[in-house]
Amino acid sequence: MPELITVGAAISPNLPWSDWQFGFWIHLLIFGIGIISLLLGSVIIFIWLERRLVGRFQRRLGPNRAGPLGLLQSVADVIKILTKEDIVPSRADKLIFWIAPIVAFTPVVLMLAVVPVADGALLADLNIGILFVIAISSITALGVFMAGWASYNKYSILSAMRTVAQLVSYEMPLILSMVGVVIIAGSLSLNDIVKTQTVPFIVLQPAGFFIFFIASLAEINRTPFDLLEADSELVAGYNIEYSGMKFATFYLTEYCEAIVLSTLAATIFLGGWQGPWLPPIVWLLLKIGIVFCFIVWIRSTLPRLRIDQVMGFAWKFLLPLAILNIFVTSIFVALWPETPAWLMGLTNLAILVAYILFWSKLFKPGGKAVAV
Amino acid sequence: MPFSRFGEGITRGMAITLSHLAKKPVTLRYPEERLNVSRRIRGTELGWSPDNCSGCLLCQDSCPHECIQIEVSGNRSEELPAPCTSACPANVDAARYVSLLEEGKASEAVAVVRERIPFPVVCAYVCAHPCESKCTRGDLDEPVAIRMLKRYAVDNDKGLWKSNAKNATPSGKKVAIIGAGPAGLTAAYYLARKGGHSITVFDDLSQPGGMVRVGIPDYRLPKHLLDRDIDEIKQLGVIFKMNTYIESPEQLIKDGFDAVLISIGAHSSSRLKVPGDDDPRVLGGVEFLRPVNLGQKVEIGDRVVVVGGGNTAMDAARTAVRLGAKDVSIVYRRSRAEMPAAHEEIEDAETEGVKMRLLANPSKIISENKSLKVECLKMRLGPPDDSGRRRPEPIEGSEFILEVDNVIAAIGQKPVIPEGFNFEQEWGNIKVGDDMQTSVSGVFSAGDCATGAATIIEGIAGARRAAQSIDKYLGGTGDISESLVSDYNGQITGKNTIFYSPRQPLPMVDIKTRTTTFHGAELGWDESTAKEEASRCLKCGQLEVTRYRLDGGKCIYCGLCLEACNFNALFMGRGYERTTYLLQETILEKEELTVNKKIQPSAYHHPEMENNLPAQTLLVEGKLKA
Amino acid sequence: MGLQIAFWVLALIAVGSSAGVILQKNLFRAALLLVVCFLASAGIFVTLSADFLAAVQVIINVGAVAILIIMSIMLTREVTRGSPSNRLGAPAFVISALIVFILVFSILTTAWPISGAEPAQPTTSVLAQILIGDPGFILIIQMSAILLLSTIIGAIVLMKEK
Repeated sequence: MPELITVGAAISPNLPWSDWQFGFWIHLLIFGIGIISLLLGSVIIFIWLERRLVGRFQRRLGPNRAGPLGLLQSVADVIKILTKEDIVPSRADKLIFWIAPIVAFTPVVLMLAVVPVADGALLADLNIGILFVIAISSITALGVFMAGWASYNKYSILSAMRTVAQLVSYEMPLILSMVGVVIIAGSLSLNDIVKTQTVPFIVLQPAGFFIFFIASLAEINRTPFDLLEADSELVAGYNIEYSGMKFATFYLTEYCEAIVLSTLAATIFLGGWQGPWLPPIVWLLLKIGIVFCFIVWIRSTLPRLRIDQVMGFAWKFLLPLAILNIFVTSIFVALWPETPAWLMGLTNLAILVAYILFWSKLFKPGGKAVAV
Repeated sequence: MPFSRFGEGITRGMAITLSHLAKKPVTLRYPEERLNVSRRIRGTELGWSPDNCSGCLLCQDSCPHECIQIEVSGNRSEELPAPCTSACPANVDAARYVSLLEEGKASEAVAVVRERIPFPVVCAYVCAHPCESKCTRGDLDEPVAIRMLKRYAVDNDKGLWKSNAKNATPSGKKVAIIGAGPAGLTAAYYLARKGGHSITVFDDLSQPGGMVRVGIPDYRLPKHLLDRDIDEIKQLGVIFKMNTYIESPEQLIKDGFDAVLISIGAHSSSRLKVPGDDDPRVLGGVEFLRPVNLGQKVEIGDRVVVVGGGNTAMDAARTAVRLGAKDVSIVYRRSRAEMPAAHEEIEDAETEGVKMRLLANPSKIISENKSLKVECLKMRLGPPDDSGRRRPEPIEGSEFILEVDNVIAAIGQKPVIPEGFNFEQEWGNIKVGDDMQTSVSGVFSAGDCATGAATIIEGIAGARRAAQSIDKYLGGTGDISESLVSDYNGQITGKNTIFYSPRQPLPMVDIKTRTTTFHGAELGWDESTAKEEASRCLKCGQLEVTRYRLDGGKCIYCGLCLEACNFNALFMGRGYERTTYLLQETILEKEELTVNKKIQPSAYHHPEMENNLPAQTLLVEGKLKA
Repeated sequence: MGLQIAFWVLALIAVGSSAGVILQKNLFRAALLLVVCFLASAGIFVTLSADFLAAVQVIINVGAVAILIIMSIMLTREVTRGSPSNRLGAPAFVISALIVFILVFSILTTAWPISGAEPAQPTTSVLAQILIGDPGFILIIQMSAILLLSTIIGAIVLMKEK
């Protein structure tokens, strides 16, 4: 099959098996299994890490009974959740109720396909890597939506509505924040973006990272944007009627999303696998861990926002800032391509600070509530 | 609100949570870790008084959290006797013989009784049983019928105690005992058997026994049973000189006796002290009972009123019924609850037709030819007096007349002290010191003549003390304690569950026989009934509590243990601001209770335990442990 | 060969799901089938080496359009029973028949030219050249931007509380 060999070589040119006859399939197999096992394995670790960390942030211990340091807590939870009864509400739309967790979970795994763990070591080096990630990530919302609607429960429907409003709003600044990076890197491929980062883009694009991080928090529904499962208002949100393994899949989805977005933040803004002394994969995992811990830190500190605050923040604050960021970055790249990195970064930071100060004069907290 | 407040709030919040990372978590990993909280915690404290604790383990069993761990050491101890044992003036170990009777060991039970008193049969039939009034079981439903159990024991006694009894070697000293009542005979018994002295007992009655013989009617204690106990004393070589009236104890000492015990009892009834009480038809209680019990013919009218509420009054009333009186009534100035007589005596008297005229007191006796008219005043109960009983107050103008043939005044007795007895007296009794010695050296006194009219068991208890003093006075050790049965070796455990069960019924002779003859009124129990009754014993006081451990980490101060405790051994202090110990772990240990006096005590409901409180809160890891 | 198989599978899915959109009575399921249709057509774009177009198709049609459709469906009543019969059946039939006729006619009469050139790799720079390059469609892009802006302003005006 000459056709497949060329495809394989085109997708990942630098790996040793690329010119072998079935190199394409071997490559798919190795990276597919690798990504899924890495993701699922790290979810177990990260769930434990989050619970321990939130505990410590709140001056508790977190899980400490099962195994040393409570390391086996997640294992115990998995066993418990697997043995739970799988309940389907009688008036639910059963087919959609069944499909929803899968629809929610699959895109999350797919997103990791374009993330390089070393130079050229990735499942598919797509030219449009970033676009692929954005496109795929929007499908998860569909899964949440299906779950909310199929459950035949007013809380889950409310939760689903909020999700849609929130995701559609925050997708815009999320995409636009990455445009600045794309402009500087000159490529949509994540592999190229990482290779371009001799200086991590967080230095060049602090405003971009700021928007990206906030928008991704909203995308993965973490505190302070966890409106879709606001326990105090919606009981548990879209997954209220789910139990057993289907619920576990949603839970898995949430954590996989958090990990994937940490990965993206690490890859796009923090230099990905680049770093001295240590092997690339270690650097990548280290950066993922740091970003995740930061997310946990925010989660354990900030309270939940109101829905109108969330929407207003996206449209009135993040979106203009993202457009401003693109504008300034484009000017630098197009007119003064020789600008030193520190000047570019400083300018960006100055714009960010000035914008926040300016906006805080205009914005009046409180105001009228918007019912969604 | 300015927007900058948001930024400030977010920044500060993030800083706070971050700083928490460096701090030690406050999570308490119980039981690996214990809380180390401040000295002044809010809450209440739990106290334990070892003096009251009898080791029934009810508190331990009642705790739903299993906070209480009680460490007990082996068998019962002398220091922490069961309430029944400590209630007994002679400290007869009722708890022990009741548990022996639960296994049907009657002979061993009698031996236990004999360790303290030489009159097991008499006490089995007529003891006033103060033990039963203190019985823990009484707090639950009804007290264990200890006296009836003892009666079962003596009825089935096979004389095991004799094989364990050791007689002392003769000392060569002579002791004279004036009065062959229970007190005198008890002293004679112990002085002869444990001291080895040669004893001579003088009495002006024809037969030994004193008030037991002449004061207690046959239907309560048949005379042959009294002889059973006295025969044991006679076998010790005690010389009885009956029908001998002693004028002067000093004369006895001159005659060669080394010591004299005066136990002449209280054989003279108190007078009513109302106008007209000198009529010959007004009898004293003991003066009425004595000829009856000595088998003499006594005439009594059809209508009899007995004044008084004690056992003597009941005996007199019931004896009058048996002598053929048709209308017997008791006049008592207080209410039924204040009557000093045993409750079953009162009930039996009522069953036999004795009428109770309570809250009434005779004020005048008018003698007429055919009858006596007793004018009585109605009374009401005022505030309690020094003895704790409510003082009766007469109601003016409430006189009523009882027309009777005889009046029996059973309002108390006093000793008749002969002229030759030149001792200091107190309230009409012979004054004695703590060692029962009178003002004359070598002359001792015990029994009713020393204490005033009291119960048999109190007389025995006094005589025991007198015997100890006399033995010491004569150069002996004064040790009259003995062990007639080997210690109980079985494993005693507290009762886990207590079923509410009333006393076993007391079998009585039918009412017609009772009211016409002097046959014994009570019938004994068979073995199964006795075992059943003995099993009602809660075994309190048979386990010596050495360590009372309260796990403060578990205790929620629900107070269930306090409710379970029938001994007031547990109590809640007033706590709150004054609780000055760490709540890590409270161990209430007997040895520790007397050590620490530094901490300010608090005991709201139990001021008498104020001294115990501070050291009850022994701190295991705390700084306060002085 | 592989591309052929992929095309036919995707095409079948696309056609089947669009048929389902029409035939399915449950509006919510119909909308979900529409999503499947969009995804299948995105897949077809991939087989045509138009990866940028495919990604944009997913972002806009699946991520935004379909979700908004579903949301508006959820706000309607009678979701599960579909639209009840009414008098608009006949005009609807006429109009759809007309559209079908126009579509079929234009597809059949168009001569479909096949480019012999290799597909551009990467496609993004080529697209950018065409859209905003020198002889490109910059005016159309500007106009669509103005169109979007006016839409947003219109939405705000409509939503603004009086």
